[in-house]
Amino acid sequence: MRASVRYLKDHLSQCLLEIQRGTEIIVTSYRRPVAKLVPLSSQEEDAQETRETFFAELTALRLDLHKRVRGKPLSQTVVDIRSEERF
Amino acid sequence: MSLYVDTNALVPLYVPEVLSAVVTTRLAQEAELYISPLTETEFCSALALKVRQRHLRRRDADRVLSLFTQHRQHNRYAIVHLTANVFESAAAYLRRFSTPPRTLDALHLACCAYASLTLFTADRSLMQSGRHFQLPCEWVQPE
Repeated sequence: MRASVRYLKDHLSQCLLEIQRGTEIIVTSYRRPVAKLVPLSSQEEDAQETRETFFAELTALRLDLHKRVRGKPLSQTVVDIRSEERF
Repeated sequence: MSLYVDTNALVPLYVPEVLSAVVTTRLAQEAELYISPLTETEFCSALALKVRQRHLRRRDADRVLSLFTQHRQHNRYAIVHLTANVFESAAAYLRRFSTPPRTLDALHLACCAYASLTLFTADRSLMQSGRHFQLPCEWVQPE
C-alpha cells in the first residue's frame, strides 16, 4: 500500500491499524517513495515488552521506597565516596 | 552512540531521588544500556554507606540490590568486561599525569573508550576528565 505524507497525517490511526494487521505502507513525498512503515516483528515486540517491564519494575520499587530513603541522594553518595579517593 | 551508564547515573533508577525522573526519561530512549562490573561494586558501597548512616533500612537496600542483580542476570544491561586491555587503557590515562582522575575514574573512562561508548554521568569531575581525554560525555543534572 502507498500513502502520501498528507494522507498519512490525516489518517494516521487508520494507517497504524492497517500496519498492525500486517500491511506495509510505502510513504511517498511528491510521489516519490521515501520511507516504509512495517509492523514490529514478534522479536521486536518481545524486546519492547521486556523494556516496559524493566522500567515498570524500577518505578514500582522507587514508589515503594519513596518515603523511606533519607539523607543525600544516592547518586551524590557515589560521587562523595569517589571524591574521598581523589586529590 | 550507545551509553555507558556511570554508577551515579544508574542508582537513581532504583532509589528515588532528584535525578530519578530525568535519568529514567533519558535511558528509556536507549535500546541498550552498558555498565561494567565496577558498577555493582560502587552500587553496593553506596548502599552500604546509606545503611550505616541509617538513611536506608537494610531490608530495603537488599531489595534494591536484589532487583539490580535480577536485571543483570536477565541481561537488561550489556556488560563491558574489565579485560587486560581495559586496565592497560586506564593505566595509559593515568600515565599522562595531566588530570586528577584516580584508579576508579580511569577504569570507567577506559571502559567507555574500549567499547566506543558515550559516558552518561552525574559526576562533574569524571565528565571533565572524560572530556579532557576527548571521550564523548553526557552530563545528567536535575531538571
